[in-house]
Amino acid sequence: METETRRSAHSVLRFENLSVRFSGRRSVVTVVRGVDLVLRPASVHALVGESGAGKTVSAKAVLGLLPRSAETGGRILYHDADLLSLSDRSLRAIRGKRITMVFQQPDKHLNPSMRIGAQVAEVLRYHNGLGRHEALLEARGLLDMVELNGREVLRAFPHELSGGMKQRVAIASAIACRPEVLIADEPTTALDASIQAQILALLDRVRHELGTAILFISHDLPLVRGFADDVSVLYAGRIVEQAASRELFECASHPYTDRLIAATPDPARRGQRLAAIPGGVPDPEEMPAGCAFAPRCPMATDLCRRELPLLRVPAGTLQRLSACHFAEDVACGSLADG
Amino acid sequence: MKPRIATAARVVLWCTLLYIGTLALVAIAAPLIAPADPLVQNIPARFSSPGTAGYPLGADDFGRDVLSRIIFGARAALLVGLVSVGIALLLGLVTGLAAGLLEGPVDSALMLLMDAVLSFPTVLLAITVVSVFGYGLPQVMAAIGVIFSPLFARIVRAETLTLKQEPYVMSAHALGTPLRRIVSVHLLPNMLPKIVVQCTVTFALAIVIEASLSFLGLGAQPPQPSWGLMLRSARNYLLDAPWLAFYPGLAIGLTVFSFNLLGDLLNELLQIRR
Repeated sequence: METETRRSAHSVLRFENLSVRFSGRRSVVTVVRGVDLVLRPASVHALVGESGAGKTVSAKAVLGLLPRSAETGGRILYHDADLLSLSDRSLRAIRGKRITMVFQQPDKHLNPSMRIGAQVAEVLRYHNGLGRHEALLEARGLLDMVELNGREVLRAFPHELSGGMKQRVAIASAIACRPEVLIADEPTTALDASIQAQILALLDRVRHELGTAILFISHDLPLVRGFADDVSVLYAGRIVEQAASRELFECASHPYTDRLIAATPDPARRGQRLAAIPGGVPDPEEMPAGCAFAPRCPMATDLCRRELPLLRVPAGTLQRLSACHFAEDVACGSLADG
Repeated sequence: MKPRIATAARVVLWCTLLYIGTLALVAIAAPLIAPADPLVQNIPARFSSPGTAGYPLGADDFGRDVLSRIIFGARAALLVGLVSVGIALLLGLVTGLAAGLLEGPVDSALMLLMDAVLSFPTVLLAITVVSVFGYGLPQVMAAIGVIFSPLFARIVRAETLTLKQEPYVMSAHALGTPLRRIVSVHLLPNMLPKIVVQCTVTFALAIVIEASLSFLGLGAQPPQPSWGLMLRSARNYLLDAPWLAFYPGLAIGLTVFSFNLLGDLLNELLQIRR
């Protein structure tokens, strides 16, 4: 009991051996294969991986937004409640109120025929039972909070706003009920670099001012540097490396992470080719028996191709996890120049 | 962002709206506007040609004023249009939403039923329904409503399926919006343009069918003033008193044409706006 309470005090959201499978007419495709992850209160946990790694599917599983063809396994604990086994009704009370989500394409996530004010007020009306007028007033405050001109934007239609403004509106509705958890699914991918930085700064403010924990999903590892507290690197549905952001960027302990960091454009190496990772993510229907990264890994041996490496604490470290047989041999940046 | 449509189209749009508006006013204020009682017979004035004093559009085989009958006929026509489109819309919304939201076997069953209704020739089905439930305008309106409900059901279902995939609907779902709010706030307003267009087109169809059924003697019953019924009685005097057929025919033609044109223009206008 004591460990249980202590544990929930340290996490608002916890994935325990989460798996997601999609069963089609002919085949079953496993997209997420046993993911463990802890989101601490008021912290930012970045879930990073290539497209198809299972990031968005994991995020959608939290809010029960997966299509009916999806089968989930494991648990997603919000405090002590397993979101995967909650009824639709109790889930709806959490969705949008305690746990909310911001999506990738801000222009498509707003109703084109509804004024911004009404859309932001919408959440307040059914979650907090506010009347129309009160909700609009509150919405205006929220829009001001995300650094928009509340008075003007309230009456605007989505097509009158820029992409960055729309994403701010989306964030405003997401934080309307002061949620404990905000899931941000590539919220900056569709935006310009300068707007990206502004949105990250805004999310950072939300975290500090409202104490909202953020599960930040991105394909862009360098982007989360300095923003995330913890980073989980996802590859082919499994976490290959998990560490505090500071440690991870200092020195990777999985060849995949290492190569991702090496693939970052660096002003110091201007004019040189970027270190791309050869090959592509394996087809989820034809997963290799051993390490999924082995076909693309310069360090791969027969052991890697034969045996699945489990997530473990590499020798000589304390806090981090790596799923590589040779985690200890991944020297910082050693592969980058090779 | 202003919709870009040609000035000519704009003029036509206003003309149709003006015509329909006038027609609606005439229908509502029929007793005030009509020069005579549409039912009062004046046998000595039978077959007065248009222009005769007191009979601007002539008199029919019972000496009734054609203009007054056309004015009161507008009531019947618009009433049929409104009520049957209303019925079709309501039935179509319910089935279309149910099919689109529930999907699976419910969807298949409902759409099969709708396709079955659509596969009958419209007038034939209307005649069947009216023969079973009796002659008269109320039966005609109900029949037309049921017959045209699949047109709405299909649109509503298709739009529901499309809009359901829209990120903003999923987003609303992610924010905990209850289903009925999603339907009323996100689905219905965004499918409104297509529904409005379908309404105007169906309105025109309903008027044609009412006229056809009344012409066949299955709809409005004499001495009720109805355009279709006027055509029916005019067919015996086509050579001697062609105005008896001409004016009601013109009224039907203009009205149906206006509604169809309005539907087309709205379709264009609303599509551009998207």
